[in-house]
Amino acid sequence: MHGRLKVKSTAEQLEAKRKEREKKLQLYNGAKSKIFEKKINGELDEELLLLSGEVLAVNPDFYTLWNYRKETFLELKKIKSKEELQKIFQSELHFLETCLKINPKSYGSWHQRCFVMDNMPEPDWSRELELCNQFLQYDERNFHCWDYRRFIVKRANVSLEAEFEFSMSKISNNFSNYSSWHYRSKLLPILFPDPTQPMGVDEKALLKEYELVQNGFFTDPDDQSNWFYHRWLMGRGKLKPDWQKQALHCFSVSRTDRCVILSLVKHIQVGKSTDIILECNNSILKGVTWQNQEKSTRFSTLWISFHSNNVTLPENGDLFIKVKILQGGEEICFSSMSLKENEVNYSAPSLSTGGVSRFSQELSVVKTETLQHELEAVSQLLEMETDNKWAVLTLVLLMKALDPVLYHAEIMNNLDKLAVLDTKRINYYKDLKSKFIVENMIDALNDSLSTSIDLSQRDLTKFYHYELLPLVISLDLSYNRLNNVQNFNYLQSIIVLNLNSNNLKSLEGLQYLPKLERLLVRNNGLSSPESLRALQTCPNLKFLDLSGNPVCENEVSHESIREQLQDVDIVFKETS
Amino acid sequence: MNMGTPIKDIVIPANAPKTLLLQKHADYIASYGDKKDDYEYVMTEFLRMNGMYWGLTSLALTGQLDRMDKAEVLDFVMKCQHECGGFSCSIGHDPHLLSTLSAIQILTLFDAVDLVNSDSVVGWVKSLQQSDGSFYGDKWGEVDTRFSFCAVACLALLNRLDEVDVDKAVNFVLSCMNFDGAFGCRPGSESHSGQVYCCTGMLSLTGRLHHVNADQLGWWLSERQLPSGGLNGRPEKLPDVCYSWWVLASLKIIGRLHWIDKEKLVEFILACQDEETGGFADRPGDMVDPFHTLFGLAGLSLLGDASVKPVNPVLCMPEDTLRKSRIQLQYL
Repeated sequence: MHGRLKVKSTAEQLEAKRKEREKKLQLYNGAKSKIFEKKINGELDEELLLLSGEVLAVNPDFYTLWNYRKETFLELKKIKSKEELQKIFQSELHFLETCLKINPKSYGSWHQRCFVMDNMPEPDWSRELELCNQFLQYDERNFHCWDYRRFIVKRANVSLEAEFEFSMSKISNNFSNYSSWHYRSKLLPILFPDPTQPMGVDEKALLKEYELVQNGFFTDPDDQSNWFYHRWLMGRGKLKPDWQKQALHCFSVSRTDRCVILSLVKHIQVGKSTDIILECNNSILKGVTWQNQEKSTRFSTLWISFHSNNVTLPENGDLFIKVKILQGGEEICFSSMSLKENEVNYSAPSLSTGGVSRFSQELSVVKTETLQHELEAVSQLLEMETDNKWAVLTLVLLMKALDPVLYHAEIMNNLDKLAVLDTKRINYYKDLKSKFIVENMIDALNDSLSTSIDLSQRDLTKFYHYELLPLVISLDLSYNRLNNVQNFNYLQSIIVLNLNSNNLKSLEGLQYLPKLERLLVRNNGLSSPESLRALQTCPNLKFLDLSGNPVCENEVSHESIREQLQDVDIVFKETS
Repeated sequence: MNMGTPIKDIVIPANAPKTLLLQKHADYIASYGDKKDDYEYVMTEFLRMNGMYWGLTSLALTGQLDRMDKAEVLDFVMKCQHECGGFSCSIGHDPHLLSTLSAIQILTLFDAVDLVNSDSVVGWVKSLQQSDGSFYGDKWGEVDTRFSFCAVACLALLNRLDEVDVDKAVNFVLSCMNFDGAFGCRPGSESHSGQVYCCTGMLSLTGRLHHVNADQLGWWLSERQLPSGGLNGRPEKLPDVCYSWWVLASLKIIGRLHWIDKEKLVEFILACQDEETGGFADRPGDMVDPFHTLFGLAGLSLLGDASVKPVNPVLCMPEDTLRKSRIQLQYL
């Protein structure tokens, strides 16, 4: 029941309505039993069409009856002449039109119409397109009708240029028409293909879209359709080619830990059709199994080798390691590295960023000019509409795309402004801010990923891109606002982790960190021994600062925690 | 010059309910099936199985499932299974994936999945998968990402997910992803929150959520919240209680539930209760029904209302019911 207002009626009115409904119900039930009986008896005839039509006219969602009609039509197809069939199907189309006028959102009616069009001897597709125009005139957002339109376009090979024009006419009529913008996003790559361009769309065509949508947001700056479309256009830059296809992002080898850790650009699931081959000094190490950071074989970008006793890495001598990823038996990427006689561990990025930001897109000259032009346009709009959140956010994204370092301060200020302008989505803006801070930090590392990172006191609400940091050895995230450490187990090389003064209520996510020695979680919201459960799986943990957490106030918990973490030096109370 | 399109929204009436009338809702649902000769009841027979799932799950979330006659329910459900393996919405109607998922969910609620010959259900679901990975809703060939979710959820509840081509099924769902990061019914269809729920749920059940651009989709979903606090299903549409489920569950699945204003949404959902009859409507002042009652309660549960049992965001069933099954779900 959607949009049915509850109205108070008098007793008299209620009684009259009850009687009327009772009568309707009798007719309805009578017709229904007769139809079911006919179906059971295999009487798929014109009488069944008549009876089921009566019921469907009142209740078009009674899908079983549409099915009966379909079955009947298929029967009639065997015995009726072409002319007769054409008439029968025409009358079904007519009937459907009536049903759709009463209920334009009935899945059953629209699907029945597709069935009829696919089965009638001479379907009149142009008439159907006209019908869509009518229905979209009445409700320009009816997605059933839009879908039916796409069905006709496909079946009747309607020119996509004409459809592109149609979406244009809808937008000129009303910029606030999400359905039409959506349609354009689908048509553009087909109509204006250019494989050399981002996402395969011709740049000139895209520039026209920018112009169009700019018109839209100047006309109606509060309408979200324009802004969503605009954000899509902005995002059409190309990621560096290396980051689009599967590749080894970095890997590390350790003689002492007897394992190899791989970090990939894209997720894989080892097993079934994907496999990782490990070669040591030019011979394949058999009997190696692979698990992700959760010790499972679910999709991940991080994979760790486990060696049965007789296939360990040689403890001395030069080591040449090669790793291949196979998909369906075919090699999709590989990487290699060598360890000298005296080297125990080796870790390195295998995919260089070449000093360019990992997170920004490669911008062509034209694209840069366009974005610069956009930046000016949006700034201009903001002079008139100072508090328009869409414009502020767009400004932020444009600056981020053009030069995240140069505009850093402005980006941060504008995100703070957004958190005030649009309080409902305050946490979105805060997370976005955190993301940008982390991205700038990672870019500043260039390719030296085996390092220490200081991100303390940055007001972070969420930590991003842990998947890029499997080689980081020390991370300071103290004095932020993190409320979880989910996925921190990507940090496979981490030795020291400082999470003092955050809002953590649980340490779920720190499981299986093989090298973690020092964990600082002072002044968080950890309130029970269970919230520390994950630490039992960190084999090298030696020191844990737990002071200032609610769990420390209870002496009984101390015991239970000491039992959980037997070889760990635990601080429960701050020593002054 | 165009003065701009006004935002479509409602104003919450000052006298709208502000507290949860939990017992009234349980009573409303428990007595819903008593009026079997009622016009409304008869006219909605085509979604009886779904309706029962909505009602029974609502009761289960209030902790009062035992008020229903389990034997009677199970008898009805089993009478709706057809030789092909699929379930129909009611006795004598045709089988469909939509009613089949509801049937399996009802059986799960009552810990009675063993009653059904799962081979036949699995075989039927398998037969509906097409070469592009999509699923027909029934033998008549309608394709929709809703059916991809129903198929995968059915199989997961029966612990038989590996019996269909999961990779292809996932690829089809991904082909329905749009410029806004959200999903539609079929390739080319416009994004819709209901479809987003089905697709993110499907990807969670198959462990493939890494294909989702969570920040992009999360932003689109968070923009569903209107000044009244209610959520709509698509841009420029009115708010509706059922979207407190479709949008909220999707946000939960992709780990972005905190991107909307929870307090304002709670206010909106509570305002959609009917103080006289119990139950929730789509908007304040409209007629209530079991569909909106379930999604109102489930939404409040996701928002942290402790008087409602914790609900699972992927399957919309009580977490404690699912703990018994071996279903693996992924969340970002």
